[in-house]
Amino acid sequence: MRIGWSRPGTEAVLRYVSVPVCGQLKSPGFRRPVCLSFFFLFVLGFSFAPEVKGGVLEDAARQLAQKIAAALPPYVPSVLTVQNLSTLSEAQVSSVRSALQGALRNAGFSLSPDSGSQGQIRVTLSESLAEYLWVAEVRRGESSTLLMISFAKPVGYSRADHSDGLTLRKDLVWTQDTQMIDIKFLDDTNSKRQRMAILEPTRLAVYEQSDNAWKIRNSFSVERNTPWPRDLRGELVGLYQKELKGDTLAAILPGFGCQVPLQSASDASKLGCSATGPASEIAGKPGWFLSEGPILFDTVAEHAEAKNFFTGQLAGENGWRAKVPPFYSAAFLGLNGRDPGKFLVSAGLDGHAHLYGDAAKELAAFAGWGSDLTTVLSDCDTNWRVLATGSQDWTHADTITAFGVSEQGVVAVTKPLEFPGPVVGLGPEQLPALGELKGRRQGAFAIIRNLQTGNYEAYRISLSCGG
Amino acid sequence: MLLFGPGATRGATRPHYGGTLRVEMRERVTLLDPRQWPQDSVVAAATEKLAELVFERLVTLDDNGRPRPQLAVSWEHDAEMKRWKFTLRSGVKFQDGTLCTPKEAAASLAPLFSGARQILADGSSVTIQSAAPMPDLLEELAGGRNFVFHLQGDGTLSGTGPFRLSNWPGSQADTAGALRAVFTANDDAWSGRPFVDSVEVALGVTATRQVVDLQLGRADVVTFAPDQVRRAKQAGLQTWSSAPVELLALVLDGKPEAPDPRLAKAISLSIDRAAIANVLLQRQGEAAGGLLPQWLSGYAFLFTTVTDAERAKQLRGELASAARPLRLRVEGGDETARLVAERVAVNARQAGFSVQVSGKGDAGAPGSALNAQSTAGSRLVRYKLDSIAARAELAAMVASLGLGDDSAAALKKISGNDPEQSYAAERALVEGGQVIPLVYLPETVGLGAAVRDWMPRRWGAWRLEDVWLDRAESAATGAPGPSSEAATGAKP
Repeated sequence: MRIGWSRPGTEAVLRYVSVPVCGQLKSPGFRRPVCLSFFFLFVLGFSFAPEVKGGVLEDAARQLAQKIAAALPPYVPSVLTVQNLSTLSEAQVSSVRSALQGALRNAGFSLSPDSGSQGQIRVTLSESLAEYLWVAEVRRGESSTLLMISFAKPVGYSRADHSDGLTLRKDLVWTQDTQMIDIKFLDDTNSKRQRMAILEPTRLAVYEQSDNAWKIRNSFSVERNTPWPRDLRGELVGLYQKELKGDTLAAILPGFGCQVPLQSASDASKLGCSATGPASEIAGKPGWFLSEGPILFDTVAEHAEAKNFFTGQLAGENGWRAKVPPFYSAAFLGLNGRDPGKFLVSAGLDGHAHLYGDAAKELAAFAGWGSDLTTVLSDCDTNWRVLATGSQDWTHADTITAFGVSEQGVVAVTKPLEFPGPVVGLGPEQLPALGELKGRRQGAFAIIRNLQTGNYEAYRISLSCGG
Repeated sequence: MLLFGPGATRGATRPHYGGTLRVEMRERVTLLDPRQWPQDSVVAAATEKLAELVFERLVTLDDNGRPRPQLAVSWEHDAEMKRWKFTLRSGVKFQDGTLCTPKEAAASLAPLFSGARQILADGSSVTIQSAAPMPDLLEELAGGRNFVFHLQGDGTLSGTGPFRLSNWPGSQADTAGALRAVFTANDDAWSGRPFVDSVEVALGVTATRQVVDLQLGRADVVTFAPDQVRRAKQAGLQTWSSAPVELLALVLDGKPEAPDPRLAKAISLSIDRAAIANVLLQRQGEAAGGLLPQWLSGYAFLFTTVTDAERAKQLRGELASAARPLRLRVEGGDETARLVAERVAVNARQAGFSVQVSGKGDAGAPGSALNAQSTAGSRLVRYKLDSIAARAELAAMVASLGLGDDSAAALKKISGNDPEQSYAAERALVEGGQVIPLVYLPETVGLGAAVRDWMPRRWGAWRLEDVWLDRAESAATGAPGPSSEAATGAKP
């Protein structure tokens, strides 16, 4: 299959590889999937989230201890109390207390629980909007000294957060304080490098794992002359690029697209962007690929210009066209573990989810879902599931629930999985067209905006068996 | 077609486009011109809310108060923080089509800065330099009147913001006594078109009228007075409150002679701030011992708010000046400040002071019992925070409340972001005897049922460009809003 790729002198081609799932196709569905491209193996099971560098708080504790030591002679027996007025957790406070005690003892202090001690060190862990502020009130007899240290609240990786006992599981894989639009993990089977791509409004960042930490490998500037929609959306997909004779990582944004050869992701000059993008054209405009889990279809959807939804215009190979009502998100799914691509499920602008069958015929509508959905294939029973967000606006914490879809209706197959903020992006875990079905657990990525911290967080969502 | 699930519940997470957002405010904003900024901090804060629809700054702040690019995409400074260079976002246009160049940015900011600063423009950047370090420059540029604008030939200003000003009311009020401004979506905004088509703002609407309008679905966003919040919540109205952003304080007149610090201490000890916050303001306020709230400084807990009437009486006994009646003027003329002043007077009288509360126009009137010659003067002020940087905020407060040149000079000596120095300066101000902090107040707004994605900053910046309206949902649930109003037959 050949799809339009409007960069002058280039064209992009999806590569086909026969896989068992494709072989199961028996009846023509909504659209037949054109199957998969496997030029990468996606390695699952590695640790996504390096642990928090716990030293930040401990370093600060040592710094405060130094100030205290300078203010109070160490030979004075002292009692240390720590109170917390900040958002630090009990565990973190305990860690700070231990670090303070250790640092003060190292400085020669004799710490005593006796409130009658000559010296009193009262530490308050406080905070302002952007910083932690720790205050030590040091008393010796009648004299008193006030000491303070402040340091920025750290933003960075977080520990994996497991929701034990739930069938639907989330793992925090990445946190950053700037907007994230999409995230995908790449894995080069040749070099065994583990890489991660993050799409932001103004750049495509590629990270590489080194020494159990993610380090930025390259950053590609994504610029265009016309404004982005306020609710900017985008997707990262993998494409085979015939002209370049290689595989590319493509970033598709409203009315715009960029791609970079994956093998030369360290060369910023290789990023090509255009106002049409690496997609099939619908009425002269670029479309977005629709996926079924990690499977990239040749079917694309037209994104409304300067808005945050899709018009409902769909197009595929051989001039195929269809029209469904406008939607915020859509994905293909099969039923009963068979017939991938038989149905399309969408989250419509009307606030309902819609299930479409052959020839874009609407089969059912569901209420109570949010605007974002994607589909996954469960390892447990080989059924396709729809992951759908909750139905409140972005001022509320959100949920994702897995639903089973059948001709009889929809049913929630998991409890809602809660997040500390609204889900602003939801898509397949693997780079579409780069995934592999066999032996892989099918998951999704959810990007949320944490209402407490303001940070953007990416979670890997997976269905685990047995609850 | 089959329809599954509860039909009344609609999915609505992603923003929808369209509609007019109707906003009502108590303040009468008369001009949207950064060059002619209101002196009164409360009016200035209201002006800033509207100006942010039309204009943008070099820098903005995220939810955690961290500087983020707006019209500037990056910045750098020298080691002493005396010279800052801002690289501008390319291709941004003002609403009149003029390109926003470094020259335009420098020309608009230059008159807003004091003479001690120089603003220079070159190819793609703006440089701000000063003989003194400017550690808070980013926070400063991200707030207040520091907007970038283009002065058009007819004298009007054009901005780069998400809305265009399409109608400004001048001084002509409507039949309800309100001034109405209209802002329409800027389709070409570099940051993306807002979701609503327009924002209609009624200015100078009384607090009572705003509540009624919200209940009848004639307004989508209204501003509550503190004493209305509890009733609004009981009535099932949706409300949102900011972090404490307003300080109610007593300021003792510094002329003709500076007040005795012991006088301020005695009065301060007499005041039952907890009762003011919890009873009078119905738990909408927080007792204030310092000038800056805890969320801003991180050290507000070090200031005491304890009442000690006995110690207050003792101190009063030591003061000869305490025998003179204390005249307490209420500025701003609003009911909340008046109630707080009356309560302060009651507390102070219990400690043996003679306090007379007057409105703004009462003092010094011929034949008045409150003649300034025979009384010590003080005023109860409402002060809206201007910056999220502690040192800059203290400096702004000193200037706005007239707390003296010495205090201003002391604040200038604070180097960078040093909490110990900021705390020491604030402690000196509080113990200086001229200002007595009373309570911090949040800003509370009421929201119509159709309002979605109300995601303001904690310090009260509204961000109306991200708000969208779900009129169909408000009609379906029957909640107050324009659609339900039609169903009940109420007229706008």
